[in-house]
Amino acid sequence: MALGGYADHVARVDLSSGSVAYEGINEEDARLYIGARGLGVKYVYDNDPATDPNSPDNLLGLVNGPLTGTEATMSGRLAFVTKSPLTGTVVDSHMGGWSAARLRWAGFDALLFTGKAEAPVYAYVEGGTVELRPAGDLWGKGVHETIAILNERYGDNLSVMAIGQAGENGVLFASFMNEDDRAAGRGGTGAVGGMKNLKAVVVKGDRSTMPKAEDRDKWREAHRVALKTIIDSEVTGPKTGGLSVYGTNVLTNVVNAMGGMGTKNSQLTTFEGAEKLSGETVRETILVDEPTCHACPVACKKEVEITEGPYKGLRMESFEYEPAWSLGANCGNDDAGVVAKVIDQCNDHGMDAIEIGNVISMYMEASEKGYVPGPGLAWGDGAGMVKLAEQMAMREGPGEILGLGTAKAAEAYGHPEIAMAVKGQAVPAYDPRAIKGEGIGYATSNRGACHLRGYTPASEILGIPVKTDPLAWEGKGALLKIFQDLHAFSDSLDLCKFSAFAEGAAEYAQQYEAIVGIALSEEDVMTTGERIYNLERRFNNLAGFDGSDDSLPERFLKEPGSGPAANSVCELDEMKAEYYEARGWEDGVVPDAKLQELSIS
Amino acid sequence: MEVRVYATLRPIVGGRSVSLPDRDGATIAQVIDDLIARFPALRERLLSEAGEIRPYVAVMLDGRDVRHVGGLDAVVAAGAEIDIFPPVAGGA
Ligand code: SF4
Repeated sequence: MALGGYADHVARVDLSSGSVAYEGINEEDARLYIGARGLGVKYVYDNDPATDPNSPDNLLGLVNGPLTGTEATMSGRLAFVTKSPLTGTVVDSHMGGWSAARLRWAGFDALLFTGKAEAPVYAYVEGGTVELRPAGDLWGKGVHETIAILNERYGDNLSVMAIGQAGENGVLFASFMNEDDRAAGRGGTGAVGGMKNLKAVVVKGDRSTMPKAEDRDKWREAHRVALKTIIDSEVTGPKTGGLSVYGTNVLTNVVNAMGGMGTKNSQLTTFEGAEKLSGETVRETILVDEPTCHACPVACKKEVEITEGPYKGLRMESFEYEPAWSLGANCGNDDAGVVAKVIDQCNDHGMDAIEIGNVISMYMEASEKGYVPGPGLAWGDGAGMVKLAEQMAMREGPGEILGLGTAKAAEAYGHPEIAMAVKGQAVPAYDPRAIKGEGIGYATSNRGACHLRGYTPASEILGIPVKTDPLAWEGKGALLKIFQDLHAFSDSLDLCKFSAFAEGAAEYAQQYEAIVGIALSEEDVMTTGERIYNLERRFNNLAGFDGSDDSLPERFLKEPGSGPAANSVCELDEMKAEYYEARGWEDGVVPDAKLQELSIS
Repeated sequence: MEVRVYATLRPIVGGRSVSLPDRDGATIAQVIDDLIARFPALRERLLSEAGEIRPYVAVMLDGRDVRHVGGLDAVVAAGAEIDIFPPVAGGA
């Protein structure tokens, strides 16, 4: 292949037959869709959008981008891609740490799994080859124990991406986790692993095979410029910027102050206990370490140790903003020990920590309203939350139904209106009555409710690239499109989303050009992102989705929030009209002319 | 009046908030001046050389970034809440 940057090596693993075939990267696809998210979605698209996500025919891909595992700052990421059993849409879910880099150092751009193994297996990846090995002894074990056993077996320079009991038991929001507790969290990728009897992907590789740019001088300059923007930024600056010092959870106080903190299943939008769970308080009281990912000086990960209460002594990673909200304000819980404990359960059983908090808060509201049998669960009942999380992973008691996720479980209780979900996936931590760009963002996300498809809070809270009023809806449709397209490109390189707090299309283009060897303008970056976003939407259209699925729970449209959002609801219809106009879509459907314009076939 | 501050501003003021004398009907600009008089190191964190609120810094009056409700001239009513954030963002 004429393009630099790629290993030009992909494994197709048929789990049913146990055969592994190797192929190169399709150059045309690489030009159009780059890698990771974009190329990954193309693989899933070519596999057939009509596939039943729970059938062996569904494809599960682990896909790197051309920058993954290079010296590029924040390049330790890959995308898990599949058709989601939670939403029925295409999904790409990214994890950080070192797994992605190691996969690249082991010689691969992508691993593509189809079929279903007769008995549990794991894939062992080293030196450009993949072998399936029996995993009967690992089945039934949590992620942490699975990783400990595999580490003992294979030694250093190892990454393990595994499912826990949740994936095995068909929890529809199960995730793949790696050795640093980083999750491919959203969309139920772990449920697909479980359905396929694929317990883990084990990768051995070290930096000695780190890919190097052909044009060293060009690369040095591109890398220097990008790194400088990260270091100079007041958000990402190592040890100085808010993200670096406090982690993502630096958002808790600001979002709460704006009246954007969904509380008690989004019945309110302000939470009295916010400060107790904030990044500032965590840093003051329970922070013990600040891990990072491959090639990242920001080190936004925060490790904590609980010092009092029933979870005293628990040391864990991923006390992030999203789960601090989903298991905190959202459940009426202000106990950091409970938040840490349930996140740790998610890490070990392999579950999405955003979805689980919404499942619990939905169950709490259902309990309060008498929609569930038995006493149910009261707001803020920490011990009950921990028990319920366990029951979900094991599919026991109420966990049998709740393991289906917020939307399907609320439906089963006969009250879909209390599910704060879009296209079957629960909402993240920005209430769309206070931060309206997220309203149109959740509604039009191609993978169900998601804040990371188009991170408008960068504009609505911070002012990147321009400050917009979070309470105003005008202009948000067009603004969202820009973020969605830009992120679709960076997710395809694959760089951490947080690069966008400092870098932009110019830095992305320069790094791509130096590694891959193709000149790219800023406009090309945006057009490529637009192509990827439209390919995902085309997939969803073929899977039966249209504009009626670009919706929000009625609560956000009809019931005002509280505090600064006390008089505010989300003007979804107005924003949808603006957004479809900016996209050139007809009621949520990509017209043929748009497909042609973007060379999608 | 209590002005609450967050994140990297807290070490500068040595706490979560600063008590300032009540100044009924003062503007946000006057409140920020009072704050800087107490903690001069806040000046370069909050204001540009031209005396505007620095990009990405959020000065909130009753939960609204003052950029959207009158800027530095916004009037602080009795009992109003003021929260000041340095550039903060996250997302995961
Ligand atoms: S900013 Fe945080 S999540 Fe992103 S690469 Fe760095 S440490 Fe990892």
